[in-house]
Amino acid sequence: MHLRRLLSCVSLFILMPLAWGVERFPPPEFSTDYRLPRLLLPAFRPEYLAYLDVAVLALALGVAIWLVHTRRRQRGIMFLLLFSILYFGFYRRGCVCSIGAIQNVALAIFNHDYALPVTVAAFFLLPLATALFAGRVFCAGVCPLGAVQEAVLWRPIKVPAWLEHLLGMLPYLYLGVGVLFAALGTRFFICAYDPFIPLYRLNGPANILIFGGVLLIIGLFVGRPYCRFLCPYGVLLRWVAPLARWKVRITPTTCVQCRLCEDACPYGAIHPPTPPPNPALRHEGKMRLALAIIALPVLLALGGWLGYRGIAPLAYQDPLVIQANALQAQEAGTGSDAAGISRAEKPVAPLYLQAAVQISRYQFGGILFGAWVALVIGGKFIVLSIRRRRLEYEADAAACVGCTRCYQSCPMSAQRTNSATEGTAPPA
Amino acid sequence: MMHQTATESYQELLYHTVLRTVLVAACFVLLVSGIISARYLNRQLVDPLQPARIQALRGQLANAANDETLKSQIRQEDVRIRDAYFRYTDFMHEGMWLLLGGMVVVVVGLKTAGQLRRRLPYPPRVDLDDPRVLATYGRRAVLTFGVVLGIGAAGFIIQLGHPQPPLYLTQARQVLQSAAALQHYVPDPHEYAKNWPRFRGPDGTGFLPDVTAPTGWDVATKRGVVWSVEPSLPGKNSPIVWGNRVFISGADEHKRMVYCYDAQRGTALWEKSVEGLSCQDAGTEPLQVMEDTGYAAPTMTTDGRRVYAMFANGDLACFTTDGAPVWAKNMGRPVNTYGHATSLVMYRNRLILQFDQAGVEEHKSALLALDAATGNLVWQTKRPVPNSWSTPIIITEKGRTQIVTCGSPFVIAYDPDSGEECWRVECLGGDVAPSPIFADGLVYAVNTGSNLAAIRPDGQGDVTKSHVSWLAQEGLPDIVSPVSDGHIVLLIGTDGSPTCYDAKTGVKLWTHSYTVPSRATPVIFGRTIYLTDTTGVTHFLTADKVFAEQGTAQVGEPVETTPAYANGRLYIRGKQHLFCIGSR
Repeated sequence: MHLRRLLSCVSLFILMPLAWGVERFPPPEFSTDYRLPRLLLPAFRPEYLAYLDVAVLALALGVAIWLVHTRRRQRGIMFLLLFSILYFGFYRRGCVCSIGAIQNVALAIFNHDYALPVTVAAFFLLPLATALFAGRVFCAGVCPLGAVQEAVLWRPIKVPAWLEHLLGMLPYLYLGVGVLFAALGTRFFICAYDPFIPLYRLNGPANILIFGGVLLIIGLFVGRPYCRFLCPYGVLLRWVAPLARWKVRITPTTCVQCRLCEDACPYGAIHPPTPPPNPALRHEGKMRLALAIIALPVLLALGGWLGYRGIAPLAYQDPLVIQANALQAQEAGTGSDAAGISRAEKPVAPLYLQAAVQISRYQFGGILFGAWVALVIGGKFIVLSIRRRRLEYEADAAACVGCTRCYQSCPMSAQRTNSATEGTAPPA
Repeated sequence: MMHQTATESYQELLYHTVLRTVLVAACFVLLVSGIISARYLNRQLVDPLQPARIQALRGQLANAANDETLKSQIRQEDVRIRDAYFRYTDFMHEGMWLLLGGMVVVVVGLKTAGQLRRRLPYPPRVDLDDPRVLATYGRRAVLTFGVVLGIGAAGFIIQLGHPQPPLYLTQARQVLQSAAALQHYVPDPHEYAKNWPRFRGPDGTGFLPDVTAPTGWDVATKRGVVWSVEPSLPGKNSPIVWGNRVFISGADEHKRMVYCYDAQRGTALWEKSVEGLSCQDAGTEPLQVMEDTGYAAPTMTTDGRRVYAMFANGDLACFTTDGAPVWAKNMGRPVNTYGHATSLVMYRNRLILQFDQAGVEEHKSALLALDAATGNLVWQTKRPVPNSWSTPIIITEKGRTQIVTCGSPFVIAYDPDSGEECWRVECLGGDVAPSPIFADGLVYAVNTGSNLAAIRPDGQGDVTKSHVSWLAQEGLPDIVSPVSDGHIVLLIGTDGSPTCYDAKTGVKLWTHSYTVPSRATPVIFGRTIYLTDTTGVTHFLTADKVFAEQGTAQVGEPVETTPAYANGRLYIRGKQHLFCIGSR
């Protein structure tokens, strides 16, 4: 019963932005002969179905692991994607999803009055736990947002490396925004601006719908633009996936450097071998790296200050602070009771305290957010200053979504798969 | 060869057919998208929640309330807007389906076309880009992005300006800072013992061995009365004292107040109301309590920095000793036959609430520990008892600290850190109001119609048969709690008559008859028992194995509360007044 209440609260909270989008009319303020129809409430979803969703997620993740790492065939992945679109997309209407669950977790961490539902926690943790063992198989075939983009990809073009690096920072910033607003208890930003939810619900704000449509059109030519350049959950998966026990290997045997896989990946997740190191450039590279590391704390302080100055004043747009300010004006005789605060008969002092706490939270949140943005930019610069040595074509474990396209283009992989199908031994 | 050519021609035809289908579907999608977008943008021009025309008409209606034409116009406009709104939602919904259908055709078509003209993997003809060069481009892009973002943020900050902070912010922050400083505050045991921080003193037994309290006063002649005040609301709770402050609470059906008085002069330092707390299970019926209980029966408690008050409607509030609100919550309307009366108790930085309600079969009774700083629940243990009015005590015996509670039919002890049950004794019955006491290694629990039980509090589990030292059945009280100095145990019966037992053996030592009943629990200061009856007369008895009355004193109005002692003075709450007794 308790869990059911929590689930309904979470659902309401998640749906709040969309409910705002679908405006409701108040009844007229005068009496008429018109009799309002009885309010029809949708039947409550039984509690066990929430656990069924978790079970389906776990099962889908298990199937995805098998398809990506054992079966190594794209056809199976496509069927799994279709299932995800139908179940997690159209049937579950994209909620609860692992991406939105970030905000529930953030809210639970920063607001002790909010209890994180078990099923939401499971949606948040299961894909991460899977990534720890098998990489981003959640993205490969389970995420309904990734699935719809995977489905529309038609003629992928290569995004220039500099642009890939640049846009690759956006998910980190989006994650920061999502966590910030969830922690402040203001709104679930990631859910409110989820581009594909209106598609799955066949309803929603038109601006979000247009946003989703634009992303899908881009997605015809640029592989998974939302996953690569916006998805905040992808950030967490990027952190975990490199630690995976089983990583995607383009060739199961030895890379013959045929370069056939070079164009296979539409997501820019295959890195070619590096040329031999140039001793002449070594010193310059070291100096650049050292300077970047030394400059990082300064950058963090600057970012924190900018965040403080930029975010903290937004507190005055917070409903709680607006209410407290209106009350203060009313008490000082300079404002009216337009907000109906006196009629609400709420104690005054707690409202001021709550508003003061909210202002402080904006200030603290602003500092953290600013520092986070600075860390993302500085960190990216440092990462780009570190040289890595590769002897063969490698899938980037952090960026690879396990679509298995590279398996099809690799002659060694194809030969092994065919041999396995025909029952002969793979080549050494 | 001919067959191969025919297949290729067929594939070519299919490819072009699919491509044309995709083209048509794409045009359809674009058209639908365009129409949806246009409709959306057009809709933005009218705010359906703030229809300006209706508001203007409403304004006119305020001046001409009986203008039927105006009302008709408003109705028509209202209907028009509602109609437009629902047409819009229907339109968008249908548009979405059309869009989805078109997109599915486009995607399936494109995928099919892709399969028909499948490109085989081919090694690129160009040389690999140097990763070092690509990294350089990346760094430049990141640097540029950082600079642009920084400039953008600076511009935004300038645009935003520096809003003037509201006036309440400074004061509210001071309150919050002091609350934060109190977050993990635990009272010093020695300081705690020097004050009267809860019902019946620091340990809840009503016995202070080494003090000499006033024994002679008369309100009529002002003799021995330092000050008296009249709180605005009644209450059956007893005063508590910390340092130079005396706290009581008061309530009626509509209002709840907490009062703080200067212990030296009796001036009101602050008065705070507790209001506006929502109660989920309050229902529509007004709260009914027995007149003998009232709306503010639970005695407050303090840790020296914060004070806590509970009321009959389940409101629980915490203030600093300076009167700043810290937290407040409603615990749910107590389901209690006579009205909630159990007093609050502190254990380190936790507020202990014995919240016994309803019948046993309803499983509503529980012992709760709340975080004193926030009011958040730390632990909760269900209790197998019906509603009760007894206040728990916290004792330490052989290194084990326990919360000892009474409720029919059990005396149950709990671990104050976890709420786990330590031991229980089945020895009580009926509506349990007297609180347990602890003296010289024994817990004493009593209720009318059952027993006075002396229990050794070092057991585990059900110790009914093993840890009850003795039982007695004469002179049992129905309201007043027992008191003991370790040598005797004194009970005050329903009619106000005291009965004295030997604390170690349970042998009845003496009894005495009074004509006026007592509701106030007696206390022992030094070797003197202070027993106050309902007319406000306090009898001074010698705490000994024979009955001896030393004298009496009175406050001139009914008294049903327990006196508090601090710094050589007594604080007695009468029906109307709070008296400070002692020397100036």
